[in-house]
Amino acid sequence: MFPRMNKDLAYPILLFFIGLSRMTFLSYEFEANNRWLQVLAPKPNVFVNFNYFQKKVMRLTMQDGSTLEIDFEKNQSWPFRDTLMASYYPLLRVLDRPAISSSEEWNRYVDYFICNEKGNVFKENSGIKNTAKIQSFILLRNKKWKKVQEYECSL
Amino acid sequence: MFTLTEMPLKKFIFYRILIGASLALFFIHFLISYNNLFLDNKTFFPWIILGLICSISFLMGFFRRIMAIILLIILGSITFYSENILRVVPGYLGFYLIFTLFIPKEDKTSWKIPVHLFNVYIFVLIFSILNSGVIKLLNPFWISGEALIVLQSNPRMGSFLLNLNLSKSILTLFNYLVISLELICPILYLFKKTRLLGFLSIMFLFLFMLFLMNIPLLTGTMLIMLSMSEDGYIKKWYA
Repeated sequence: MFPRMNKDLAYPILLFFIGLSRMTFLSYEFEANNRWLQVLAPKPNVFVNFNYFQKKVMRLTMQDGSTLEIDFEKNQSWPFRDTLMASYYPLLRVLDRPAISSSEEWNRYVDYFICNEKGNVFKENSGIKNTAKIQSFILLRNKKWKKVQEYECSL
Repeated sequence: MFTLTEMPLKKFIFYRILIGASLALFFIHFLISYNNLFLDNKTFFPWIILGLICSISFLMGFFRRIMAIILLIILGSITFYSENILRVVPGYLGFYLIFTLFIPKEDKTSWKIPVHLFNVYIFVLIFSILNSGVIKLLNPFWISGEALIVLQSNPRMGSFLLNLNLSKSILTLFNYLVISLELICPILYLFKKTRLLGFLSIMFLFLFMLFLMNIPLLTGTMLIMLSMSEDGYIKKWYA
């Protein structure tokens, strides 16, 4: 079904995949329409990247009016029940990238995991329940906080 | 300059089993964490079951090439429609599956993997490591040596570093060691005389990552795929 790989065929294929690998990385952080390409060629992944380092805070407003700020850099304020790395990766991904995630995607995940009791992802002793509003802020270079996402839970 | 030892049949089968098992574990992970990964959307469920069956069939060598094509389609569909941890490795697994499509059916008499194909496979893997090192050079946190310090103080990755409380100077040293290895290993690997050193350095790097990040399924799979690049150093074992 597939041809035997000889020298004439191998090296053009090599160049093709190297190019594809490079291309998928360049567009990786900015848009999601190249995901099929990502399945075809290895791309380097730098876990500790810009999105990871960007200072961000998530503010939860409860139905009783109290607020809670979650600082992504501080272990003490980490209310989630585990690292979110493997089993909750889709949530971690959007929380880490509030500025570049689409509102639709961000809303879908916070609605399911934070507003919805069924998907509750917080530690039992975190005291977070009945969330009314979720906001996400990022720190700009001029040291000002900018609100980049906001979602109101349906009651 | 860049010619590898031909891959024996037993080596190919050994890695086919390991990577097939990794694929099966990924699909099992998807099933266990289904609601968290797909937000209760039942559309993907049959795909994941089919993926698990195809992974086991691939692992056992039944209809290997047909299974590889089905797995490629499933991985592509899942990655396209859902954010998940596989986003990090589909390129590696997908490329391996494409690679196996060109490999002749295993028969015991005249089987051998086309040497140019093996060269291409290894070169693409090595290039991706070099590329990762270059990209780190563009990142101010990696350049200033702070990347692993931030990682240690941060709960999101669940890094094993969190429990070790290593000093900042050691973490800075590791930071530069990671970048250096990613930049140097691929070059060492190109030459026959330094290839073993390059290979061992890559293995060390990914073993370090295995302990650095709490995602053993992911780094373990990467480690398996990269260990395939050994250039006949453990020939006796496959004999």
